[in-house]
Amino acid sequence: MNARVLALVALAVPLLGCGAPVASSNAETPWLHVRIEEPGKRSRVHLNLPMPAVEAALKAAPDSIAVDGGIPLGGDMNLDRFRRLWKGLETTGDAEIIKVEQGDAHQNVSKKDGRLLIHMRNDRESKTVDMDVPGAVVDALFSGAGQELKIRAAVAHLRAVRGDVVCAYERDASVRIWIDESAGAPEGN
Amino acid sequence: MWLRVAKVLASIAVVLGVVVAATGVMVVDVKKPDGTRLVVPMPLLLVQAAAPLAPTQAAAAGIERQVARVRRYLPAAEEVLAAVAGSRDSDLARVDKGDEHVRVRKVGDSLHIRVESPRKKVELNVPFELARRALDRARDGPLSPADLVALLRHSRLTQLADVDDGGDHVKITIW
Repeated sequence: MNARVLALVALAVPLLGCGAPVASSNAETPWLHVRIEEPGKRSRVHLNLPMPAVEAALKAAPDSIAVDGGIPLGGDMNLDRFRRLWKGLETTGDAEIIKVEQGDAHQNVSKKDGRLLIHMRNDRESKTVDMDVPGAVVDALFSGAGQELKIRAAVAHLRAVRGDVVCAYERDASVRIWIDESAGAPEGN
Repeated sequence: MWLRVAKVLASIAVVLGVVVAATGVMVVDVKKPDGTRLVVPMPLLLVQAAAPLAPTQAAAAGIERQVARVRRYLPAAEEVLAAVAGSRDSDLARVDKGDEHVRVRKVGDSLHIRVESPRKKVELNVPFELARRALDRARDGPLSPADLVALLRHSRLTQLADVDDGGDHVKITIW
């Protein structure tokens, strides 16, 4: 073997051996999508994350968070009282949990087909929040006590969720969070 | 006798070629606004050997300060990285604020990061293997500049960085 061939082989072998194989992706992996748009500020945030990555990231987060004070539902509602209301509906079918009509403010919290639906609207501020959370996720969130929300337990159940989880609109901003099986398709430059 | 000398010189060249090819070459390509172009190929082995001698203590201390703050999150970061590496190619994040744009994409076995503003354009390609090894290495203790250079061997055939600040245009490629 002459020196030129030897040199070529020597150059080629390490170059060919470079890239490590990457695990093949599963087409049914759920993806969490977040869209935050504020057209007035020419600002938008788009996130598309595979759920296994979200779950891995949450391992670094606390297992649960404590909600200080009240929650923005039903006036004087606190988390513990809301948890008891939700648990009280375990054996019932569809039900309205909270309904508030106060001037321009409207709140409707209900259980429908085992899901927790929250609708909040303020006509004066052109603000609307819609949440549609599967019962299993709510149960996991409320699996703690007192003012505690079990975040990691809830995220584990999100793997089975498909569709919108949170939609919130203000006059000049919108937030949408949903889960499906599509990756974030490249959006061009 | 001259033939023997030629053979010895040729074999030295071959051995050097083998070593350089096996350990990689970093090519820094700088274009100045006045049209001057400077291309500097540097064998990684040489860069790695020179790194401890360079006055990089301040940089090393800076890296360690940053890593120390997040060291306890590194195991989770490794899992996140593995999950992203195993997922389909996608736009992972896109943030636009006025004229400033950040885009993070997963393309093949690399993470592409692009930051654009009217004055500056930065593109980084980070192979997952490089990131995984860097995180793994950072878990064990301080990362030195020599460690970082050694990790570049896992980025072969990659244009690691492309920075255009309106003046100089710098590209760093690992071969």
